[in-house]
Amino acid sequence: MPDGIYFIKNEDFTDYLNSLIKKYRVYATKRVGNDVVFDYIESGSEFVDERSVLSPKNIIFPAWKNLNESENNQEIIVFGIRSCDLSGFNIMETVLKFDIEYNKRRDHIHFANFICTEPCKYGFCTTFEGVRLKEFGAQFLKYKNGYIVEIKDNIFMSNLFKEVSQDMVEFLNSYNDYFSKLMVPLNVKGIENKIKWEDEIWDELAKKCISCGACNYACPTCFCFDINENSYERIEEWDSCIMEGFTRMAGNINPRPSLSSRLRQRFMHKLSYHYLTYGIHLCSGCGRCFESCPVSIDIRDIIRRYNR
Amino acid sequence: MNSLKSFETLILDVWDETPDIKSFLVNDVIGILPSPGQFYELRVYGKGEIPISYGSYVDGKLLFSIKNVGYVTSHIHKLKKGDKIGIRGPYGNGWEIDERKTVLIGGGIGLPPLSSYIERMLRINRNDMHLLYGARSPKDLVYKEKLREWSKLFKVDITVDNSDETWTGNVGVVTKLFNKIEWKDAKFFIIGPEIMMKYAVKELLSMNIDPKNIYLSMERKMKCGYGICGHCNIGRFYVCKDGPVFRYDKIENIPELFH
Repeated sequence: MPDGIYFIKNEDFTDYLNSLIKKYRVYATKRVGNDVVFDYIESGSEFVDERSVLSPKNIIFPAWKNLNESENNQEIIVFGIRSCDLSGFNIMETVLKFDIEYNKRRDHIHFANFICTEPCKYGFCTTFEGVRLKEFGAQFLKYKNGYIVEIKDNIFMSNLFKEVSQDMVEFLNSYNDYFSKLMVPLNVKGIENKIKWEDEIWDELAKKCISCGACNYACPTCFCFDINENSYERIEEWDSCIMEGFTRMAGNINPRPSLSSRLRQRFMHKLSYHYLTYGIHLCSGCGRCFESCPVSIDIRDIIRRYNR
Repeated sequence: MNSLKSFETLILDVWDETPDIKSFLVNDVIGILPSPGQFYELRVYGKGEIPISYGSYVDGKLLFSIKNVGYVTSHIHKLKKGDKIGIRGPYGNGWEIDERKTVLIGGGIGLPPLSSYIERMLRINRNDMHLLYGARSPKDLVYKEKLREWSKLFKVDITVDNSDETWTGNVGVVTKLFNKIEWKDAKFFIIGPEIMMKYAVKELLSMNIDPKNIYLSMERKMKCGYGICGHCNIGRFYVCKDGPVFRYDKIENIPELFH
């Protein structure tokens, strides 16, 4: 059987998580009221295999941190992240990997992602990497009375794991193709060169957009951050390209003063610029941007506009 | 790999260049020889950071000339000799040094980043340069002493937009000096306000200068300095990492090059 692929039965699952909790801090999806959120769990039974309200971006790239304080880099297991969110973090890393502090933090974070079994309301992940990822710590796929587990990071190994059968391996290997039939991918081929600078769409979007920045904060690939200080602290915090101050320089000089120019920047960055520099689109297809958008600006409409 | 950590250094001297520009001499506590045209992030403790190209690097001391235009620069202007300041860098790609002659075109506070190049060239016994420098008025010219010295070593043409009773030189925008350019095969370095750079490029192109021989030093909001915070892009390029000096043919088709 292939290396690094195992099976865990549902009946062993809570024990498995408890064995991880004994050794590490486990930040996992759990239910609070009607929401599924990320939080530290104390028992494996708290875990739910469902998509969280927000991605756990905060743990790998804090929304706010005081640069004067050193980070407490304990080993952390992030358990139950959806593939789209982790794929987004992997894309974000193409940029953040050039920062020392990011790497120090990243070295201590171990991700276990869960592959979705059915398309969600907003996602279009098959347009990009798909549900089964290439980069992860551990990757879980529901199969009959348990999960097929792929392991790349030995921190996730367990003696509760069983050998996989040939049909499990075939199921796993064909899973992205199978899922693409359930969720038909959009055509993004060549969009980096087809997206138009001069297009009435940017003005149309600007009439709807209320500049709230929710799309940026919800996005697992948005990495832009600001640095500020006052008498008490020096801060690194998430920034938003939709806000007017994003490009405003000393002397009130602003190369992107209009909302339409900032919306254009957001979609150009996602669908063109990042691809041209790093060879990958700055989008994992998670759909969190239009899920959180109060005026329903949908990146899929932009993709379809240039590639029917 | 990079970090936002800044290093503390002392201001060794401060003086006025113009009514709104001050020069600061600081110890280079980083110890990396900068390339002319590169910039540093200077930090006023408790106030913030600003990207500033260095104007001179002599005996491990860096010279920064800073115009009071915004929040952080207004606080830098309050600092005195002996005060502490934070510094990190050098960042970005500077001016290319090669066998070609250089025509340097600067506007206002754009002269310091050209000054670092001129001084490096003079140190390697090169004076095949021609400087065209313009400012709003005679009192807005920076590095007046350096300009006098340089004019003994190579061709220096200066103009002001608005003359006063003390001024006997050229009057008009810097492109008015372009008829003094004798070297069509030189490389052309341009730095100044965007409107000035835009017209300078246009004028050079109309003189059939090859876009591959034109270099611009661009300005955007550069916060991190090493291409990760996302603020300073012009099209797919980040000014801090891919610039600030760009060869014109590589950026000429970017619609937001000049805003």
